[in-house]
Amino acid sequence: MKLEVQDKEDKLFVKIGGQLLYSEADHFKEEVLPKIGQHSIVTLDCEDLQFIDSAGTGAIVRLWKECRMVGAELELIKVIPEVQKLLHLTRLHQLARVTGIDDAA
Amino acid sequence: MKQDEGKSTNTESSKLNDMQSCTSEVYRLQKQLETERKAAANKEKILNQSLQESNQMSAHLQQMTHSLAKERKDALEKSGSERLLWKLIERINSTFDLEHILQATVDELGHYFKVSRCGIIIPNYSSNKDLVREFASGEWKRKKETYSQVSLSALYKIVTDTLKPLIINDTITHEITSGHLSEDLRSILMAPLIQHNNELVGVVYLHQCRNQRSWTEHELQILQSAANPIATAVEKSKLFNKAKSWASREKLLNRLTSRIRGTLNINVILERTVAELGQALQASRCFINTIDHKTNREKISHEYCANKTKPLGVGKENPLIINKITEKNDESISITDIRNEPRLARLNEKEVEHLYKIGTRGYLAVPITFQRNSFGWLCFHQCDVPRNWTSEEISFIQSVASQVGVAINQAEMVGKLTEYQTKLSRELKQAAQLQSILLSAGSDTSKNLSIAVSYHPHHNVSGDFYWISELAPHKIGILIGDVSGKGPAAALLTGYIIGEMKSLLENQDTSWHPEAFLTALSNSIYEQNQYSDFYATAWYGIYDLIEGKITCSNAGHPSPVIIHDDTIGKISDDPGVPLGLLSVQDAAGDYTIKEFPFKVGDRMFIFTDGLTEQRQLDGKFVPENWINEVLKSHAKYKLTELPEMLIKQLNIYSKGATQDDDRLVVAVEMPEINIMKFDNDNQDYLNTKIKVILDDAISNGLPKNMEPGLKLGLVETLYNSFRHGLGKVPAEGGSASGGKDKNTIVTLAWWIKNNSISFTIKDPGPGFNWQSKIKNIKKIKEVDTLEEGGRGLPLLFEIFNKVVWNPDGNEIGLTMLW
Repeated sequence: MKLEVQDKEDKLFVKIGGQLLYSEADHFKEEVLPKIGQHSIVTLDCEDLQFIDSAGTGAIVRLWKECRMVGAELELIKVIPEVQKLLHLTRLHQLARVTGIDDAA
Repeated sequence: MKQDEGKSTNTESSKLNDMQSCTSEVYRLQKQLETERKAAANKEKILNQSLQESNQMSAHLQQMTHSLAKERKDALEKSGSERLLWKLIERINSTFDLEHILQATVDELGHYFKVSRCGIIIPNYSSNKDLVREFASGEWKRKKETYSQVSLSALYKIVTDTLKPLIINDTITHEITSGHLSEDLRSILMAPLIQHNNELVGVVYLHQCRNQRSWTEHELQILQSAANPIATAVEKSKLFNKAKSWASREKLLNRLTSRIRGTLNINVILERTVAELGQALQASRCFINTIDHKTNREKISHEYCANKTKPLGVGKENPLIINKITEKNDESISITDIRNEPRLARLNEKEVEHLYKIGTRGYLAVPITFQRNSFGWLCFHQCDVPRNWTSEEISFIQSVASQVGVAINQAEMVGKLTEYQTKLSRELKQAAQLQSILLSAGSDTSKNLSIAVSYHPHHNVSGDFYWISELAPHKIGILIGDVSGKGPAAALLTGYIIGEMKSLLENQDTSWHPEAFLTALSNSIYEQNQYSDFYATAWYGIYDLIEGKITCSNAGHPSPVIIHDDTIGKISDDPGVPLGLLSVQDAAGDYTIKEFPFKVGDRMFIFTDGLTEQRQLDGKFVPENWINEVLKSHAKYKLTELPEMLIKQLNIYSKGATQDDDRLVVAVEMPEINIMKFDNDNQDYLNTKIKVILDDAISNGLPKNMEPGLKLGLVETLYNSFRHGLGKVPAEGGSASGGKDKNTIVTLAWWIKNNSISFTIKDPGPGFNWQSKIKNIKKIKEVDTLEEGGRGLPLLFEIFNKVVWNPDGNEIGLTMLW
């Protein structure tokens, strides 16, 4: 898993690559959650995210909860169809705004 | 003397002068003449006396001649009448044919008496159709219609009433006939024919036409003398005909009875019965009126009609009506003449009108009953003329009616039986369908183990059964059984066993343990089998595709044949007692579990005793090793061809004998499988390996859009195996996890076939209590989206069509269909 976090004023931009799996979920949470502050929007760029499992899904849920606590909105952008399917499977799209890679284009 | 006188005259002429001598001669001559005159007078007197005597004699002779002539005449007359009587008796006694007797009588008497007509009347009180025969000479012949009316005449009535002869010498002057008869018929002599008990048999009559004839005493005597033998002959003939008719009726009754008992085709029987009865009794109609007990309506089921009689119509509703004239409804009703039946007063106008309409005069109805059940009436109509039904006829018809009752009852029973059989047959078909449906779930051979089946039931519903159960993608359980007996009862027990078997297969405590499975099944049958003597044999084996082995138990079933390493033989599976014979206590530990290697390419044939206990045409069993021989000689055949090949070969081995039992063969073969070993959970390592599987699935038709789900499922499962399996296994050499020894390896096997992919993932850990975990498992949609965990298992159930674990929880089976 690759992570790139950019803090731009009230926006937190997180680019994730590779796979968000059980083995990476804790690392994801450790890296991203502390960075959430007075942001109005947290964007998770999933363009390079190839795969996500239930643990990864749990990590995103945790991220959404943190966002809500600070009043930030979580959005997942450029999600590739395969991952989009997995997010739908776990109904994550009901929590965060999810846009596909095609939508972004 | 004249010669002497001539000589004297000549002497006197010669002696002329001698006058004296002449005178004296004259004197002498005178004297002589006187003497002669006196002699002549005497002679005349004697002659007169003789003549007188002769006259007297002649008168006497004449008297004697007259007397002799009279005697001769009497004798001639007497011998004539005797001859008549002898001839008549001889003729009428030479036959039993009444017609013949009557014809002989009128012929003989007619000729003898030289009358214009001679006739005989034999009254028939039952049919009112008298038997009349008449002999007539020349112009005096009459039409039968005319002389048949004699019995209606007053003269006939006088004779039959008085039982005395009637002598009418001149019809013109006789007080009875004067002015009543045609002038041609001048003299009548009529005598009754009376048998020894003074019963009137008939009347014989003589007619003299045109010329008057005074009947002599002698003639009357002759007629009366002839009357006795005629009466006897008529009576004898009647008795003979009665006996003949009785015998023929008995014969008919026997024929009907044996026919009724010999066949179940009631319609044909009753149709022939009415026809034969109608003909035998010379009735105009004979029919059966049946009562429909549901509607209480009567209709004609079978009908016979004599020529020119209009049929009432089979199937037509026909209320009997006449049964209303009697109080009891189970007695025969006989009516001589509908038009003269006082009991009809009990019927209403419409009913009487109906009876008149059907055109019958004589009516006989005999109830058809059997064991107090009334089925209807056996009826006879005598149309046009009245008929006095004799007690013999009624009794005969009652006998027939009782047989008809038996027939109808029999037919009803056969009908009910047929209905029951049809129902049973229908239900058996339904049962067979049901059984087939019940078994169909277990007959799916599409498993990761190669399986082929051939099943030839002996009956609609069979006692043989088999069940193929996928315990896990790599664990295939096969149960094969045979219920003792055949047909419905065996099928019912089979049905019961299927039900029990299903519930036992759902329980891993039994389905994964052949010995426990058979013990539980046996116990269940035993409990249900208290009141019957059924039992079943069964064999249950579990094929492990990853381990390459089979574990099995046998309950009295023929041991399967295995082909392993090119050797063929029965497996030594130590068969125990058949199911249902002993209780758990009795049979505790009886079923042993056996394990045999079953490697790739190995084949096994499981079958029922229909294959081993088939007899040949000569009654001997087929040779025991026939299966081995066939399998050896057909080793190169595909697995799918072998079960049917075995059945075909069995037909050859049994030499064309018919199938004795259900025949069931299940053939299995261990296939090649894809196996992958995982010794760490490195993401790249996992990805690489999973990609191989995904590529395999995609190349075998897995839709691309299903790939992420499949990958997610595999990743979830493998992580679980590593997380819960490897981590807790104390690895050899002290390594807690990630060791290289066999205990730290996760095994994944997969199979792709028929638009499905299935996996078994095994870890060496102690497993987990999946039973309690999945008890309250939610669907992924029901998982709270705000929950960070708890999605793993719901995801598996969402992604895969089938998710199973082994009892320990360290093996998971996953199947995805597309």
